[in-house]
Amino acid sequence: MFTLPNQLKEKNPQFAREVKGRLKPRNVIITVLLSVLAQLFLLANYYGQLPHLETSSQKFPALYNRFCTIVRESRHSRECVQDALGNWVVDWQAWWLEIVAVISWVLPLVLLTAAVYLLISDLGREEQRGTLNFVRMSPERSQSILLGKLLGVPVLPYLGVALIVPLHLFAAVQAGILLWYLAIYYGLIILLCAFWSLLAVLFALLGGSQGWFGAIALWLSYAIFSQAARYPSYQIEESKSNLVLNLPDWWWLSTGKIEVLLAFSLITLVPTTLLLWQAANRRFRRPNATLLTRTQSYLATAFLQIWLLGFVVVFTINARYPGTEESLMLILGANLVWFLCLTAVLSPHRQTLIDWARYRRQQLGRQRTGRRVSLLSDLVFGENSPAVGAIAVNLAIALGIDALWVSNWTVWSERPDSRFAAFFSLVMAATSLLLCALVTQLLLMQRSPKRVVWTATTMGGLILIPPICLGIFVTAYGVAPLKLLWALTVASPVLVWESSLSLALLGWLGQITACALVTSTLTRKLIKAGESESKALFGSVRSGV
Amino acid sequence: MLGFLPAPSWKSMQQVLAILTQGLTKRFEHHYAVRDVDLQIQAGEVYGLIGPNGAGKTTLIRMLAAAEEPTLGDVYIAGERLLRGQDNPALKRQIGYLPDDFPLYEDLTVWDYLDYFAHLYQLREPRRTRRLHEILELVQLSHKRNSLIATLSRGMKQRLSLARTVVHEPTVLLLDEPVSGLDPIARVQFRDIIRTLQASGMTILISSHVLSDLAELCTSIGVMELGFLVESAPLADLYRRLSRQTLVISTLGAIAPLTTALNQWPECQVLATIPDQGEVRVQFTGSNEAAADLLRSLVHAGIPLTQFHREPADLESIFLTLEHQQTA
Repeated sequence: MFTLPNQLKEKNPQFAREVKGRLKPRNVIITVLLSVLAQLFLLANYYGQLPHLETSSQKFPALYNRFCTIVRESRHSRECVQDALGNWVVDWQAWWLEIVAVISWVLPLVLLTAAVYLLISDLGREEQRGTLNFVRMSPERSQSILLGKLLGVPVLPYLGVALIVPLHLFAAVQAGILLWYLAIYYGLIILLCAFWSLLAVLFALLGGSQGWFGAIALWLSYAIFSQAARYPSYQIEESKSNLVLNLPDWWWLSTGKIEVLLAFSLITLVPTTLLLWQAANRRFRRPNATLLTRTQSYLATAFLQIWLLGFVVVFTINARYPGTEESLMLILGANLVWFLCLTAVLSPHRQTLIDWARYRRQQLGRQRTGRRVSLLSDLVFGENSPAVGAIAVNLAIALGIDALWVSNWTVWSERPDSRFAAFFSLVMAATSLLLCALVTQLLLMQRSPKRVVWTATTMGGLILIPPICLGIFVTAYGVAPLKLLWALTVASPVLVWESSLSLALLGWLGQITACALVTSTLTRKLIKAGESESKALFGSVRSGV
Repeated sequence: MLGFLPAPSWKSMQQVLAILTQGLTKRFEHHYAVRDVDLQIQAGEVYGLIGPNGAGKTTLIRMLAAAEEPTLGDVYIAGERLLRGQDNPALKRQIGYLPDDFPLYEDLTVWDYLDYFAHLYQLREPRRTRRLHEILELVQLSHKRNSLIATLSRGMKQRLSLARTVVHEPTVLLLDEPVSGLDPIARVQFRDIIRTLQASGMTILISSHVLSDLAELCTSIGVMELGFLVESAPLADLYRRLSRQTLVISTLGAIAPLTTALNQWPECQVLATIPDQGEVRVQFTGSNEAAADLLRSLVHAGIPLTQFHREPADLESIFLTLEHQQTA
């Protein structure tokens, strides 16, 4: 057993505790062996793919192998030649390049899977056993504890991966890859690791303890990402674009250029990782608090809109081909997912809402500073008020940014009112999302201990089933009044595109009425929840009489 | 709420009190677990918290330990207010909290476990190692310092948890049912440790259903019922106000003349007679002077007395006097 330096223990006791518990001689030996064996297996496998003398025969004198030097029509069938000594001439640069490629794809997968699995299992177990509460009660800062967990819990996979790095670097040098490309690659892997690890921490702090769930989610995301970002070309002829993924252009900038790709990755990963870091710290300190503050949610929504629009501006502004409808659908779809998540993230605990309704005036009306806090300000910035106010502000932010985008569209559609129609679609979608938030808040106010499951199931049903049913009926019967029902689904923009403006306007009025009705029910429920006990008692006595 | 208090008295009160709560309230759904509790505990006291199950003791202690956020009200530890939603590092250094369940890291050794928490509480060398040795000696686990926690008995684990709770030398120690599930020897050991900690100047709040233990340890008692703190006073004051004075009188002769003589005194009410031992137990409501008169009259009456003494009331009888019948 090795002894940890005292300075490390004092700097981050949590990291020291995790490392000490995990870096036991047996574990270290197994990790080193696995890592070395994996590298040997990889090299042996690629060595076996080299052209060998015995693979050529009298019957087929010409030998084709992708690591040979003479390029024929197909890149993967190169003809082999022999030197004066009768050895096959091998394109070693291509051989090393494939090894770099394999390590570059497998290394993050192994690292992230292990980190996510271990973090969820460890933190989930600590939360369930209650040991984390003692750590919480210590004066050590939450940042220090979480950092210790993030770096210490997956220390064995980190060690295993670190042992592969020398081979990766050596192979890259042999393949002629610029080293600063690799530095960027490693920087991005660290960022990705931070992002996924923080997601895993948040999942565990929210009550999850199934490490395999995180691992599967990661594998699925990885598979989707690797498909979406076409397999990178590792041909020697394009060595300058090695390790560059082909993503769609973003804000008219080609992500094929490594500088743009790097900037895009940083702009995407740094703010999201920071946001996750804030949320994890907040959740660690206060297990009953919402994941984000209201202000953080406004910034996140604005960032997301700008980030999303980056992918569609090329198809909509100064575009060479029409692509407005598809772009609008993409934005509306992404916003639907985002706002559903946001409603879940910003909705306070039921108990918090009851206490807010009961004691709001006492707690906020007379602050220590003597400053009075209005209801409006409380709904927009307060942490314990219903999420609906904050969702409305978030929707307004999204609507504002998206409206700006729509107003700059290059119009291709035959419909002269396409910009107006798009703007009206955004308004209708925003109203639908507000309605969703209101219904979600209403459902979360129910007394059942399984209210979260009930709410998720009901909302899932309300979001998916009505549009499917309407889709079938409207296609079958095409009756105009039936189309009006689109307004009450999350696919309400369909009404704008599939019917007249007057019908769409009528639908929007229907949405507003529904919102008003749910708001009034929610307000009544909150007032009831905030009644003093004596008032409730007298009320029940009166109704009994 | 603070605004209603005159500034000087409030300031001085904060400085003297180790624990102060103001209108502390906690609700679960519409049920009040703790309701408007104004608790004041002087520095250096051992404060016993008693009450039936569900009275709100654990919730109150958890709020004092910053493990639970109050619905309303404030908590002050040594004059410093607990700020909601913040790390409160300075304040956490002053608090040691031992809940009724005590999950431990079974994979660590006793020393590593305490060393880990000593680091979390930012104890620096050489104080840290010295403190670990002291604390292991205090909880009598020095011989187990290199043993895995998984191999310890329940009593040892309980003592190790206490060691973890006081490793940083808190000024306020909060113990929730610390002796539940312990055998009598382990309870005695635990009591001794608490006495040592009290002697070192810690303010200790302890909740327990074992009232005899509290009577031995505590200087003040608080009684909780339905979330309210219905009684909070020094133990001596409680005895003075609520205890029934019992006289135990024994004679060498027959019991009958003694009981006849006692019945002539209006302050006496015979509670029980034990003829075999010639002993009579009497509830006496008179003053000390009246007790002296009674003794003198019995001697003058020629009753051969072998014993005449007052028996102090126990905490359980006081608790029952308060009609909190549900206590275990």
